[in-house]
Amino acid sequence: MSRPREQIFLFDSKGKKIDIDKLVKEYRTDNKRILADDEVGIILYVADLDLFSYKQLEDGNYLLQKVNEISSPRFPTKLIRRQIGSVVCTISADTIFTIRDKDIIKKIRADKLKKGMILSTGEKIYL
Amino acid sequence: MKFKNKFEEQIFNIASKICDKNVTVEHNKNIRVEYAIFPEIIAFSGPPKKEIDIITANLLSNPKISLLISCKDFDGYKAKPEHVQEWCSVIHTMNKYSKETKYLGIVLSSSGFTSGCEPWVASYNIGLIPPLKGNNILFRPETILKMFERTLKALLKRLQFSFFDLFEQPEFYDFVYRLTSDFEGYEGTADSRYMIADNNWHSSFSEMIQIFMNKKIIDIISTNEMIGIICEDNLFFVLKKLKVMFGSDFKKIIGLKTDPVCKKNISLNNCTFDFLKSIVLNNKIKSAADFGTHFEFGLHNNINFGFIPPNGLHIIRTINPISENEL
Repeated sequence: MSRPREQIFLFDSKGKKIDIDKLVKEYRTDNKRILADDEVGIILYVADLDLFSYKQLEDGNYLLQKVNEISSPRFPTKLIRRQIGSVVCTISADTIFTIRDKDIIKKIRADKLKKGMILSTGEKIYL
Repeated sequence: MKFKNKFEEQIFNIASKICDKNVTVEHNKNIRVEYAIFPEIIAFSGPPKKEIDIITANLLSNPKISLLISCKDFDGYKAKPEHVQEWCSVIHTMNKYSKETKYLGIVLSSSGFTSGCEPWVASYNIGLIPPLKGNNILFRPETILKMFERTLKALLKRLQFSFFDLFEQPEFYDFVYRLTSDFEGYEGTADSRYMIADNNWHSSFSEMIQIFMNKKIIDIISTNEMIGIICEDNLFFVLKKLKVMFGSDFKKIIGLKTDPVCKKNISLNNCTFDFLKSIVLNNKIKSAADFGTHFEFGLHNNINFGFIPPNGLHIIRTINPISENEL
């Protein structure tokens, strides 16, 4: 019994949406692919399946990122809601963002994002 | 075999358990690069070498891949950038002048790291345990050992797939982070009152309800130590004082069988165990509520079925008006 870390949308290389629950269920018995299955949760290796997660950008376009492992913790950290650019999203408190701070970029946890911060992708934090 | 401290011994034992005999521990060891004919490393003292304390786990033989592990135990103080920088330069130089062996590096600290360590290990592609998570969470020593065990087991499996990307920065650092970052939520469950009986894992209300939702109650458990129910699919749920235990390992149900104290309605009228069974059994669980001292399941037939440790049971019909729908 475990739950995805956050609201992740997965797509295959043809752009077809993949149901994470079905994916984890399908490969749950593939011992080789399950990197970890313990009291902390499940880590499923998917790099060879050519799966991508997507992220909506400020200009409405999508950024596709290759996914190597899917983590499904039994005890996810608390969920929070933030408006990033034009998108309001539900994310776990320990999701990592990168922000611009003058002439450097820094990593920051979602629960430490503050109004007015600018992400490295150019999106502004509204709340 | 001698160890510098208990932490190093524990890490060595875990690595030995997972990698069998392919693990060594050495102190004040002089390590040298494998390929020492490049002009830039000619020096009066010979090619680069370094005296270090090291645990080596040989993960693969063809191609040869070794994991070099550094254990830092500073008696409660966090490891600082200079402590990880040393390991960064060791792994970097060993890989740069390697003939055939590929090296991966992990630095462990029994009391964590200062935040300045992160850019160094990420840029040199070194694993960090415990991970830096951007907050002040302090992981317990036993949790750090679990992190290492999980990482090493997963790494051995990961090497069965294409693995050359792990040597590209910061892939290995990220790999270790992904395996250890979920311990943040897990760490908060140490004093959880929920437990899965089958493997003694800590659990939570939400996990319990996911398992028991829509399960039919087929019997009631009442002993002098615990009270609870047996559901279809070989599942049980019991309250033992303030602890909630569930699962399918029925050996965990202990104590002498006793009749529970049975009550009905808000007014807590006495009722018989048989009457209570006739209302509760063969009904499906539709909801649950944990009140800390007692626990309730909402059943399909508009009944709230409550457990009051050590051996109290309570049923109430939830149709309004309550006074006209008493049992």
